[in-house]
Formats: sequence, C-alpha cells, structure tokens
Amino acid sequence: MVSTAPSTTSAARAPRPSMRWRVVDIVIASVLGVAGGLVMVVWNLTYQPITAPIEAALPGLQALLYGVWLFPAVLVGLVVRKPGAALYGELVAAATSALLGGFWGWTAIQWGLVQGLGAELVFALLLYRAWGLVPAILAGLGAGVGMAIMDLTFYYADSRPEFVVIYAASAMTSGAILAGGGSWLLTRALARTGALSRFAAGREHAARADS
Amino acid sequence: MPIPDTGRPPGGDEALAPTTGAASLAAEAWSWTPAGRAAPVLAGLDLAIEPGERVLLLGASGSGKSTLLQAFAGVLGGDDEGERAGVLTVDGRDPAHARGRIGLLLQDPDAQLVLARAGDDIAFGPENLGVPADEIRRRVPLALAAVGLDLPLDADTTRLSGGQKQRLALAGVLALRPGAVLLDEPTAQLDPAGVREVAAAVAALIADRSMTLLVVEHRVDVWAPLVDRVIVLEQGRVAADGPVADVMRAQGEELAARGVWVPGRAPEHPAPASRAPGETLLRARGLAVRPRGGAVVQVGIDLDVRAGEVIALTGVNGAGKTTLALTLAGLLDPASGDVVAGDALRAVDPPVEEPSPSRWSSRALVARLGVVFQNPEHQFVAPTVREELAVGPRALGRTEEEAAAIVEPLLDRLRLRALAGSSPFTLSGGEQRRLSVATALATAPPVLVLDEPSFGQDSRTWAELAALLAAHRDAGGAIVMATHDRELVAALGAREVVLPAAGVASPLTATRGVYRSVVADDLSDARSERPINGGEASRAPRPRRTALVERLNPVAAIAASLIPALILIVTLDIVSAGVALALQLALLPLLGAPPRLLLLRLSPVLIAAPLTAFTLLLYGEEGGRVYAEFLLVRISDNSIELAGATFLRVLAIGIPAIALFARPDATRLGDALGQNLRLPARFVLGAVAALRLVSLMRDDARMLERARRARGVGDRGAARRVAGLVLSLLVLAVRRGSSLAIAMEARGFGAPLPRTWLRPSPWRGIDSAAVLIGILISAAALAAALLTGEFNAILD
Repeated sequence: MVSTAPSTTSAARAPRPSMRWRVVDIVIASVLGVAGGLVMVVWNLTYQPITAPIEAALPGLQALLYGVWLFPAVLVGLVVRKPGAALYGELVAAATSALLGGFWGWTAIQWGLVQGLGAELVFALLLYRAWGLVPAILAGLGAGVGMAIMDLTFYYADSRPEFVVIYAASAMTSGAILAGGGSWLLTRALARTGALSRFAAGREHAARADS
Repeated sequence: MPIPDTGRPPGGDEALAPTTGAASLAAEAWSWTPAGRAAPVLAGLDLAIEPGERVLLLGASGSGKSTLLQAFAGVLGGDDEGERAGVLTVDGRDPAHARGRIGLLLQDPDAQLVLARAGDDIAFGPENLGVPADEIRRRVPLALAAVGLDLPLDADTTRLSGGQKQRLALAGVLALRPGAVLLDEPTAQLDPAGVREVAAAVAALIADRSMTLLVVEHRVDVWAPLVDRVIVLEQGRVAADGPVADVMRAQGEELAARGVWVPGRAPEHPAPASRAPGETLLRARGLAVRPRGGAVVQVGIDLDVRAGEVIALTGVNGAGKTTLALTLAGLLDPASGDVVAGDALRAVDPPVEEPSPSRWSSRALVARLGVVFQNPEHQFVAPTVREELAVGPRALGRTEEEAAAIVEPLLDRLRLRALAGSSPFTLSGGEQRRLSVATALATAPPVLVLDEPSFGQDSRTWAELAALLAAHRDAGGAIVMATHDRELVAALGAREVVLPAAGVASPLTATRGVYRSVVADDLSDARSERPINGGEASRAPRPRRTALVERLNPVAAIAASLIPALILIVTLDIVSAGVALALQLALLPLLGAPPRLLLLRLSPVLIAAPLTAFTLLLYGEEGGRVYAEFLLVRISDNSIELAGATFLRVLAIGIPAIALFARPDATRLGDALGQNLRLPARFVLGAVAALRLVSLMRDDARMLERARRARGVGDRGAARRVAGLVLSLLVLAVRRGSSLAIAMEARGFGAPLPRTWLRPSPWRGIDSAAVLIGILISAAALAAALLTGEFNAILD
C-alpha cells in the first residue's frame, strides 16, 4: 500500500482515514474513559448540593448540569474518530465510576450504554466524517436524549408532561452545551498541547493554531 | 538466552518466531516523516547492527533516537501516521513480521506496566502472542529472576519503586524471549540506586551475547562499560560510529556541548557563594511531616532556612524529601510542629500577619515561595510560554506593562524566546525544566523550593540550572531542594540535611496488598482464589470465609444485578415492585456481606428512593381526587400511588445492583468479560490497563492542585479551577497513555493471533443459579402484578 504524497495542506484534508482501531486508539480511548470516570466519581459526590437549589426553583431544571456525566462519550468520539469510540468511552467511564465509587453499583453501566449510544448514533449518522463544533454539540445532544430516556423511565416514569418536557429539554441542552461544546473545547485545548500528535484531531487543530 | 531454555513444546512460540538467537538490525537509506510534519525525523539512515552487538545510541533531543527504536520494534504506526522510504529490517525481515523478536523498554516507569499484579504483567506479552499457558507459567518466574527481582507474583505493580518498576517491565520484555532489547532512556527517571539496579540487570542479560542491545541514553558513564560501540545521530543521520573510546576522543567535546554526559567532561560548576548566610527566612521547629492521606514519615525536624543559603534535602527513597519540601513550601499541612516565616519574609508585598505558610492565600504564597515541581507538567497553567511566565506577576496584580517588563528579559535569559508562543506542553524535557524555574523566578520570591530539579536532565540544562540557582543564592535568596544529585549538592555548596530512612514499610514489603480501588478497601480477600500459577494459591491465607458475592463470576454478578432493572422497567405499580423488593430482601443475607457495610453502600439508593418518590408525588400523572394544586404541583390519588410505587421500584432496581457489586479488581473483571462474555480482548485489556493508571491520576490531581496554589492561581473561582485541572489531568493521562500504547504494542498487544488467557475465569453452578434467581424474582413480580390486575405499563 502506497500512500499519496503528502503536501503541506494534507493534514487538514488527508485521504479518508482508516476505520480500523489502532493500538493507540484503543489505549487512549481507554485512558480518556477512565479519566472521565474519575471526574464522574468526584461529580457523584458533589452534584447534589449544587443542583438542589436549581431543582427547588423549577423541578426538572437540575438536569441542566447533568451533562457532566455525558462528556466522555463526546470527548472520546472527537479524539479517536473511530466507529464505536463514543460508546466505548462512555461505557469505560461508567464502569470506572462504578468500580471506584460504587455509587449506583452496576446500574451505571446501563446509563453509560444508552448515553454512549446516543452520542454514537449521531457520529454514525454523520458517517464518521464530521468532527467539528456542530457535530460535537449534536452528539452531546444525542447523549442527553439517552440520559433523558433512562431517567424518565427508571426514575420518573408516569410523570406529568410538563415535568417530562422540562427535564428532557434540560438534559438535552446540558448534553449539547456541557458535554458537546465542552468536549470540543477540551479536544482543541488537548490538541494544542501536542498530546494528540498521533491523532488526526490533534494534527488538524495544531495545524490551525500554527497558521 | 537470558532465560534458561526449558524445552519449549513444539508448535509453541517457535512457530511464531522461527528465528532464535540474537537478532540483527539494519537500515538502508531509511527515512520517516510523521504525518503533519514537513521535515523527516530520520533521513536516509544507513545502519547495520550485528547479532549480539551492544550499541549506545547518542544524539541531541529531536535527533530521531526514539523514533529509530520504535521503528525496529515495529510500532511506528501505519501509513496514515507517516511516510517512510528505504528499507528497515530485523533479521532481514520487515519488523512487522518479527513480532516478539524485539523487546522495547521505555523511559517512564509508570507508563509501561500494564496489569495490577507483577506476574500478570510479565505474562502479558506471551499471552498476546498466543504462547501456550504452561510455557508462560514456566517463563514468568524465570523472567522475574533474570532481572534480579524478588517479588511475589501477586505484588501490586503500582507500589513498586521506580527501579523495581523498570526491572519488572524488563522482565515483561524478556518473557517474549526477544533476540534484541532496545532501551529508550531506561534510567532517566530513576534515582541513583534505581539506575544501578537497572544497569546491573541489563549487564547480566547481555553477558553471554545471546541478545543484541541498543540503548539510548545521555549518561555515557552508566552505559559505556556495557557497550562495544557508539552511534551518534544528528538531524536524522549517523554523525559518528565506532568504539566508545574512539568516538569519545573524536567527538567528546561536541557531544558534551550538545548535552551528552561525556565521562571526564563534567559541566561547569558555578562559583562558590560570595557571602555568608544572612537572616532566617523560614524556621521549622519540631516539625513532623506526612503526605496527604499517608503516614508520618519524619518527626522532630528543626531547620532554619537563611537568606543566601542552599539547603539540600537528601536521603533514600521514601525518606520524605519531597514531603518535607512541600511542607516547607506551605503546600502541605505539618503533621505536628511548626513552619514559621521570619519577619523579612512576612514583610514582602503583599504583607501577611499569619506566620504559617500553609495558611497563606495562593497570592501571598507566590510572592514569597517559588516552587519547582519534579514533573514540570504539573505546574503549567497557561496556553503559551509567554503567558505562563506572566501568570505569577498577574496573580500579584501587576499591570500588563509591568508583567511584560518581567517576562521579556526572562525569555532571553532562559533561552525561551523562540518558544514564547508555543504551548508549554510541547517543549522538550530540558526546555520544560528551564521554563518551570523561570516561572518560579518571575515573582522574585525570596525562597525557592525545588523537588529533584536536575532529574533526567542533559548536561547542558544541568549547567544552566546550576548557574540560575547560584545566581538566586548570590542575590540573597534562599534555596531548599530535595535531591539525589551529589554533583548538584557540591556545585551549589549546599548545606546537606540527610533525612534518615523513614520507619515505614519498604516498597517491597508494601506490595503484599491487592489492587485497591480509590474508595473501596473494604472487601479484599477475593484474591486468595485467583492463583496465577499453581503454587501460589496454597500459600494465601484465608482469614475469613469469602462472601458469596465475592465468589461469583463478575459477569454473573452484573447480569443478576441488572436483570431486575430490565424486567421491572415495563411497569410502574406497587405490587410488582413490592414483590420483587420483598423477595430480594429475603435473599439478601445469603450474599454474606456484612450488614453495616451493605447499609453504607446502599445509602445513595436509600436517599434517592424517597427523593424520587417525592418528585412523583408532586408531578406524577394526576387522577382521582386532587388534594393540592399550585404552580406545576398536583397531588392526587394517582400521584400518591405512583410515589409509593416509585419508592419501591427504585429500591428494587438499586438494591441488587449494589448488593451484587463486590468491587472485583479490574483484572478479574477483564478476564470475565474477555473469557465468559467473549468481548473483544483488545478493548477489554485496554480498559484494564487504563484502570491501573487511576492511582497515578489521583496523585496527579493532588499535585496539580498543589501546583496551582504555588503558582498563585489557587484563589481563582471553582469553575475555572476545575476546567484547568481537568485539562491538565487529561494531558498527563494522554501522555502516559501514548507511552503505554507503544509499550503494549511492542509486547504483542493487538497482534492478530488467538490470545492465551493465563488466568482462568470459571463459570460455576452458583453463577448460573445467581442469574436464574434474578430472572425468577423479576418474573414472579411481574406475574403478581398481572394476576392482581395492577400492571401499569409505562409505555402507553
């Protein structure tokens, strides 16, 4: 296999990258997932006092901050850019948070699965070709839909429509902004440190920072 | 072979590696240009290394040494990662087809071990290459012995010293039975004792020339006795090649100028102190120190830190040098006793009344104490080098002009001008060290506290560092440094404070524990039933009977705990939730977990259940009589019933998920997922390896927080602090991950071969029974709801 000769602009518009997972893809996806799980553990222990006042103001609105649980899905998807990366990242994060904190026991895995699928589905619909801010926001939104489905069937089944609407809208907004936009910013900041030099995500952002 | 041949079974690894004996390495007009870079890292390289040769590879940073090692190890990546030209071979073949012939040892002791237990880690490579289990069991203890490690096979790999970790990683490489070992600065991050350990282990391995050795190092004195040939790389080409003595004679001066530690050409020492020490800036009395969350390591320390003086804290590993330095710097609370700032130090702008540095604000601290951390990446908080230098002055309220007047001269003085716009994380090790010292100097603090400042530095950076510190001393500043570096102590005329070995367990004896998770140390005896090889199991004591929940296969425990959720989800009614909960509570004692512990674990669910029920009470579907109505709230007959049902259902879903959660260690969970559930081994093992990094990430997070306090940005708002912390944590994690990926791939990870699973993960009768009971309980609950007519489908 002979690759086409790279020109100076080839970093941004490289030939269609392989969909196969390299070793470094797997390891970095795992490491980012575990780090995300660690953040989740800290968040599990601190979120209630932070969200309780919001909930008191308008029930369901507390989900506006729940995007913290969704960012590993989008982040790993954006960095690794392989089919399954968002799902894998969120699952590893969820499993890590269960193993380290044990807050909700194994149920965390179910949430991780559905939330990860929500983000994964968006990246898949975009044919794993689009990784900008808008795709990131949409993927975060997808993860937020997953979270809303889980919460509204497991915890808040048979709530009145008003509550369901507020909760779902908050969860999706949070997914889009905190998880989607936040992960895009994190990916860009990571790329600028040179840490992602073996990833297309890292080379693109670095190239843009140079110019 | 370094490991005595024990008569390998035919059809074993010989089928994979038909060539035995020492390997030859060769490159012909070979070039490599990484994707996204214009210039090649290696250009037209010609090189031939014969089987059994021992070669030291020298060159400035960026000359392509590491790239060459990775190329021979076959882990440079595919065509989308870079462009190659020319020919590069191992035993005359493409390195990609010489899997297992090349062993690669990297620099970072924390980023190349894969698994939680020593024996498992050594077995990792052969497992990936599908070596038969019996053969691996033979190799593991031999490899451990070959590197001179006397560790139990279940030793916790996170608790070893740096030298032990590197030797363990070497053992993992040897278990592949390679024909060549490539070492990439294997001792750069080790203290002198660790350096000796690793060098001695390597010397023993290559004594009979059964392996080719290629080592990258800038400390010639350590490796010169072990090698017969030196190759010098310069800008991607061979600049010199020959016997050690010849190359040193011809090129010694040039090499030394480029930072190589050439024997007999020690870097220049600064002039001795011109004045006697002045007044006391910091005073410790009866000080006892301990790391956060750890045991006290030193007691009864009395120490005066005086202006114009350098104090070197020395002593063996674990003596508490770093802990003492951080305590003096106000970044750790004293365990007992006091650290008190003298009048002169308190008078520095902004003045403080409080004498104890650990109670100062971040801003007060950065004006007085400049701290240089061992890992510079812990202390970087800005996107560019220039802004990094301005962080301290800005924290002190300097205007942009004032800050620039400090920053610009520092850029020149520390040769950072060309890098001013770069991210600090992209700098080389030596550049990062200069920058970290420069950031500490930017606020002109009277006291500098440094943790192992000269660790792993090339001779040029070392000389610059010594000169900077001497200048600070001669300007009337005080310096406290934790160090192993005898030469630096001598160069600065430091007053040496030797810390006695702390009365704590050595790393070796501390490894008896199991892999421990962050929060949970509660149930820990599960390890006794997981022998890595036959003999170990009988030795393990069984102080108490293992709880049933601990003996379940992790996959069975997960399945049994999640099934109620999946079945009960279809309905929300009091009967099904109540029946399921009642049956679960009846069976709970069978699991054998201590009641108090169980209650503690269940507390999140016990709190969540009533809170969730309350939400349903207020906002559940209304029906029947309405009792209260305001804003969105409707309390009705129906919402009261829904609240009751929700309360029971949250418990019925949550209790099994937590009660059956036995905190299996990651290795055991991975074995079950890979063997019983047949999930792809690459992903399972990737996650398991990443989980091992958790304890490092936690240490990183603590150090990052400390460093932010020392940098003067510790008083910032919570959201900003957290965002910066998360980014730094991710950078460090990705760096370790990148190194880990190279190490894992070099050990056969990702090879398209059927993997050997050395640890059994049995599926027993109780596992099937647990899953069946989970199904039966939930089915009974649903049946009860249907029979009583209470079934209330949630999707309607």
